[in-house]
Parts: sequence; structure tokens; C-alpha cells
Amino acid sequence: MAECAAMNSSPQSAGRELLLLADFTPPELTQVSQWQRSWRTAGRWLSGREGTKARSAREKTLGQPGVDRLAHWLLPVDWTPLARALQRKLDLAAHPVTFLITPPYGGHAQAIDILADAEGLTRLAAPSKTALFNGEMTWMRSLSAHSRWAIPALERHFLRCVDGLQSVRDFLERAQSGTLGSGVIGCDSWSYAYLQQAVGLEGAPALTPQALDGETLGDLLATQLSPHCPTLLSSRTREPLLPDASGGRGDARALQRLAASCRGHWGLAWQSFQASLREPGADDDQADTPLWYVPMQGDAALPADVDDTLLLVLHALLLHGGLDDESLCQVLPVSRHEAIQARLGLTRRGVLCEGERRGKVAALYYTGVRQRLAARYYLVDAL
Amino acid sequence: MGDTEQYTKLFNDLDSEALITLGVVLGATVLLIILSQHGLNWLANRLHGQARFRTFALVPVTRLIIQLAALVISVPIIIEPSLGNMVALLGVAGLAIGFALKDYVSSLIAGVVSAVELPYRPGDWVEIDGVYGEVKHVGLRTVEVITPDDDRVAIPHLKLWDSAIHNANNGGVSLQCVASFYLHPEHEAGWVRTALRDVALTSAYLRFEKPIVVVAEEQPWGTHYRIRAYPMDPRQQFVFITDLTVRSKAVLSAAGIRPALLPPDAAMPARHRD
Repeated sequence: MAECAAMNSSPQSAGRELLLLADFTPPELTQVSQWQRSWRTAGRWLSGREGTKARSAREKTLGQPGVDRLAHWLLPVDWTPLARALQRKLDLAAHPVTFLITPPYGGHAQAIDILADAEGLTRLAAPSKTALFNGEMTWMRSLSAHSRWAIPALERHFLRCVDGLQSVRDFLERAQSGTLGSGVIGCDSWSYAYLQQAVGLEGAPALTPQALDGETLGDLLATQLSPHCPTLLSSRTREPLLPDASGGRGDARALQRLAASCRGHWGLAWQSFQASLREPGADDDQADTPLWYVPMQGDAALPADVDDTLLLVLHALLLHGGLDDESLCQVLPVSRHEAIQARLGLTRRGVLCEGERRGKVAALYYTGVRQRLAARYYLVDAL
Repeated sequence: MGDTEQYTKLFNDLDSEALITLGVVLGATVLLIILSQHGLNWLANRLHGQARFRTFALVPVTRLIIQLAALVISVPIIIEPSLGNMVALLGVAGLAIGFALKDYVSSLIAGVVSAVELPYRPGDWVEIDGVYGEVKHVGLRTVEVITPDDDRVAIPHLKLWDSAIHNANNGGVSLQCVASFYLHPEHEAGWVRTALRDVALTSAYLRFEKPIVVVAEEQPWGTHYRIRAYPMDPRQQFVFITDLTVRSKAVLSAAGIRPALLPPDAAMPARHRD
């Protein structure tokens, strides 16, 4: 009990409380962030490329740290608190299926993996590419009415094609009816939004982490710095960015803006935070050189000339939590050449990144991409 | 001589100051119209959704306001606006309109009515007298429509009086598309209906807030199916219908469902909607 109380009061658990998907609200300033992004986009229309001079001035003296240096300074994210929060809410006897929904980089797959080990649930692996293209669901044939199972990432189990939709619909209907026992499903928020429209998921509880405000985000970030990490300063105030043990609150405004620009999602904020770290150039050899936080969300905007093909690629990648080229061509109504060229162009601009041999939307660009898709009436997630 | 004096009294003396004023008014009118037309079209083409259509709707209204303002300023400079003068002038105008300019004036008046009632506006997809396309420009006398074959068709506004104006999206972003399929009667209709609905649900262009309906109609030669669904943007209607058609054909063919053999009198040209 004391351990639980201590765990509940720690920063790691502060941002991991789960609530129903329908009750999620983003943090303050989110709408302001969207207007600022729209205003900057309008400015780019009128004046051409904006901020290149300012950006060059910053980057003349500061450079982005390499992956190795970041790994030395920053601790990897531990998704155990999220898994534990889900474990507290989980009631497999009452609901045949429970969903854990997070946006990209939200850690739902990792949390479900941890939960499956803790609860002894059978982990259902994602199907092969051939099975995915044909919509085969052989991976669920081993399940019975007494099974207890977990799917870390449902978005890996279907493609947006007729066979894929029919198969995942068949699976979800059987799962919700209890025919396949009881289980917990981790799902990307975009895939969930699509399945809600295409299949219908009424009755199955869908839980998601509570949105973080700037203060909670600052506390969480502070726990992610290793002892080797240099002093982290805000480029805006030139003061420490994060709260410290002596009571300093850090740059609360910058942290609230980071939280708002990432819509309160911890995983996105963490990725954006890392992408915004800068260190002095190689000619500065001082041992106590600080690390700088330079907010890059404002610079990470989609080009104004984004056409339909690029938006289709972005939307497909979000709906599936990232895709390899072959799968991407399967779900797009354009030729293979067009799809791959569009994907390569977006990767070159930094809008897409690669992880596990799948292209996905980069964290810095995520909110801008989401805003653009929503403005064009594409289906977007509820987070 | 008396008549000449009477007629010249209709018109004011146009001294150099009056001519300069008229020239300035004319020049300003032309400049403002050009700027407003190009500016609003430029802005609308960079917007999306409802904002785009609302900006397009401002184009003819803005032009009308500028023209009316120019008339209000110019007429008193040219004509002494007394009752007798106005009666004489309108009488002459009435004769000219009645004999030679009836249709032209009818189109002009219909243009004013169209600017107020908005049966069509730039960005709308309309069908008038068998011509279907996107309204690009609503002029004084005609409405210019770009067809899917990239033909620019100028349709006089007077068609407004006695022709039905079919407006597919009416200033909004919702435009229903219909993809038709003609199948041999020997098939399981329930399966086909579900499969066609899934084809629509898996389209990259689908607008989810709008309904999807699959309509089946039995014919002597087989069954006519229609998928009725909405794309995200009216400009995507053709690629949307193509996507539905291509993927439906693949699904139906893979299931062994044969197309119907239409008799010659039932065959119809491909249309964007039935």
C-alpha cells in the first residue's frame, strides 16, 4: 500500500492516469498553438520562406547532438507506469475487450507488452506481410472462449483494404462477443478512429492517458535526465528549463507551450523535446558547456504546396501507425511510383522518419500534419 | 432647334473637370474590379473547405457593388436627374431594350438576380442545359463553367428563368458521388451489398461524416448497384469514383461475380451520377 502510494505520487505516475477516450481534453493553449501555426503558414504564403535568417543565426552557434550523445544524457522512457495504470483499471471479467489508445509515440505497444508479462496474457503477434495483404486472420484461430490474450498494436494487424477490413471486423465482433475469451488491445488513436467509423466499437471500454500540462511535463522531463546530462537551459530565458529540487520551476511558459503543441501527449512531447535540444559547436571545448532547449515546433511546418498525394500518404501512414513501402502502395489509390516518390519527398523534408523499417510522421511535424488533415476533412483521431 | 435644346438639357455640360472625374471613376472601377476578382480568386484557391466557397461567393457580389457605386457616382455627372429627364431617358431605354437588346438585358438582370439568390457561385459544380462542370466565373451576362473535359462553356444568365439549375454542392464541400455496377442476376445480393460498402469504407478519399449508401435495383437484364458516398473535396469526385470503380471490379471479379450483358437500349453512356 505504501509502495503504491509512493508510486502514485512520483512524477512518473503523475502523467499516467488513464481516463475514458471520450473524456480526453488537450491542455490549455492548444487552440492558440493551432492559430499560431496557421498564422505562420499564412506568413509563408505571403513572404516566401520565413525565418531562414533567424534559423541560421541560431544554428550557426548551436548544433543538434548526435544519437549517441543523447543516449548518454537522457534515460530511455519507462512505460511501466502506463502499464500499471492500465492494470489497475483492467477488469477482464467484466469486459471481454479493453482498449488502450494512445497517439503516435504514445507507448501503447510497450505498455501492453509489459502488462501481458505481468498478467500472463498470451501475446498475439502481428501477421506476416502476405497474411496482411490477404486479410488472413489465422493468428486468432488458437483463441477460445477461455483465452486471455493481449494485442500490443492492433494497427499492425490490418490494412485499409476490403479483405483487411472484413477480417479485422470479424475479429473485433468475435472478440466483443466474448467468443475469443477476454483480452486487452493496444491501438493507435488514428487506427481506432478509423475502426470506430468502419467497424463500430461500441461497448468496449477505451482508455487513454490523461493530457499533461506544462508543470507535469516539466516534472516528467526532469526524471529523464541522466546524471551525466549537462545543465539544460532554455534559449528563451537563458535560465534552467526544468524544475529542480531547490524549488525552481524552470521555464514554465516554454514547458506549457511544449505540452500544448504536443496536445498533452507524453510520447510526442518527449520526442519533440529531444529534437529541440542543441549543443554549442565543436569549437567550444568548455567542459561545463550547457545544453540548450530551442523550441523547434514553430519551424516544423508542412510546406504550403502540399498536394493531395502527399496528404494521402501522410493520412495512410497515420492510420496504420507507419507502413513500409510495399504496404503503403497497397492502401493508396495512386501508382507505386507516385506513392514512393511522395514518401521519399516527405522523408527528405523531415516530415517523415523511419523506425523499424516503416515510415511514420516525425514527432515535430505531427501536430501540424494533424491540423492540416483536419482542415481538409480527413478523418482524424479523438486525441 | 427647340427639340435639340430640349434634348441637350437632358445632359449636363461635360466640361474638362467632369470628363476627368468620369475618367477617374471609370479607371477606378476597372482597377477595383480587376483587383477584387483576381484577389478573391487567388485567396479562395489557397483556402479549403467552407472558407473557399464563401470567398468565391464574394466575387460576383463585390463586382456588383463596385459597378453600382460607379453608376451612382457617374449618372448625376452626365444627366441632370430631374423627373422629366429621367422619364425621357427611360423611355428611350425601353425602346432599345424592347427591340434590340431584350435577351442581353434579360441576361444582365438575371446576373443581378443570380448574385443575390446565388443559384450558383464560383466553386459550385452545376449542370445547366446538359452542361456539367465547375463554375469558374460569374460574369455580368454569363456564367463560365469548366467541364471535366477542360472545356470552358459560357452559359447566359437568362437560362436562370426557364432552365433547371442542378447544383451538386451549393457552396459547400459535400458533393455526393455515385459509382454504378451492372451485375449478372445470378449472385448473392447481400454479399455484394456488404462488399461494395466495404469498398467505400476503404477508400482513401472517403469523407466519413457523410453517409454511405449502396442501392440495388433489379432490372430485366440483371441488378444495377450504386454506391452513393461523399469525397472529402468536390474536386476529388472523379478520382473518388474511379477508386470505387476499380477496387469494386477487383473485389467482384475475385468473387466470381459476372457483369451483366446489357441490351443495346439499356446501355447508357458513363455519367458522373445517375
